[in-house]
Amino acid sequence: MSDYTLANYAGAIIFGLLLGFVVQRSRYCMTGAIRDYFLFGITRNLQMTLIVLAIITFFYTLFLTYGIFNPTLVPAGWFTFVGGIIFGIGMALGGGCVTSTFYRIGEGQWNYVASVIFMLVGIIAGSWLFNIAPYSFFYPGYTFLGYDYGLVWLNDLLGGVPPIAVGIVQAAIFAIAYYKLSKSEA
Amino acid sequence: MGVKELIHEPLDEKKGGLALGIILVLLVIPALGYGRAWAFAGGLRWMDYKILESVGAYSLLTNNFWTLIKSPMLVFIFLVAFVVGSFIAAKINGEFVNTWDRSTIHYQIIGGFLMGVGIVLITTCNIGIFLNSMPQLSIGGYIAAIGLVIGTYIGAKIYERTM
Repeated sequence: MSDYTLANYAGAIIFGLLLGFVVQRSRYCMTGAIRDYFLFGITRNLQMTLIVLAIITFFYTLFLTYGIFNPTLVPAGWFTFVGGIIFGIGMALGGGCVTSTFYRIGEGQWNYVASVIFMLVGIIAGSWLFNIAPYSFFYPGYTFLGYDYGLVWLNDLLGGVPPIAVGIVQAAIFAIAYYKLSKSEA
Repeated sequence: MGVKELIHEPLDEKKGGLALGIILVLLVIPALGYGRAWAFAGGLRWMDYKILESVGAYSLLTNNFWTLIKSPMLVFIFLVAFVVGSFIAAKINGEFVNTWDRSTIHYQIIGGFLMGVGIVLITTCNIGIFLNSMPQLSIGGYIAAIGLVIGTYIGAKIYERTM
């Protein structure tokens, strides 16, 4: 408990409440964004994702450029790709990603509690299983593209340009994709 | 748009995307309290940590993954608040359903387990990849995002065939 201040707890509670409220009202679902586009050609959730991505890519890279917050550490390697596939199959079968699972529990769809219980089981099983798998970040000394644990950012690979320089381009790509998608729906 | 409308009207893709975007920008500003990007996997790992610690089985988690990737209680609190927020939204708009759909429970069990295993390998959840790592230009985020799209497509096709 002592690692955090009262402001940290207040921030977690206020933003959590706000985000839960907005996600329920917008019925935002990442699984739906991908699944509905592939299966039915419906782009509502995908359009919402692209709007969010355009906004946050610009601001997150701006904040990273000026050291306003620390980057999230996501190692890279074969396990990241395989893990993405396993997770993707899981969220499509389970009828919702982690986020939509939790907002559906908030709505009283109690069968999604089973999903959470088995997520907890899956994390323990995966942690035990992949501890014995070779060549992953589970082993000290693992590198990817010469970076320890594969902790590398796109702007590093582009010669160390400021994150915002890449962020503007990436945000523009998301904004254009949204514009084209919304026009094709209209 | 008034406050009443904001609270009671469903948000379309534009309003929803804009509202989510603004909240997620404010979320990461340390001066506003939380100071980290959106992801829930840390909260789930924290729950696992506490469960295994309570039964003396913490050794199951003593690998490099658990020492490299921190699982703060703050994310768990954020996660609980998120569920409460969606409960309030559903309750005041008459959308609280209170159901237990047994017909899809096997999908939730298999899907939940696979998501759990996936969390270990991508070190976060899908939101942590798409709306956290990728906007921060993380190479691991891009690689996982490609895997997630392929996996969701495969999973959706399996679901379609078995329904």
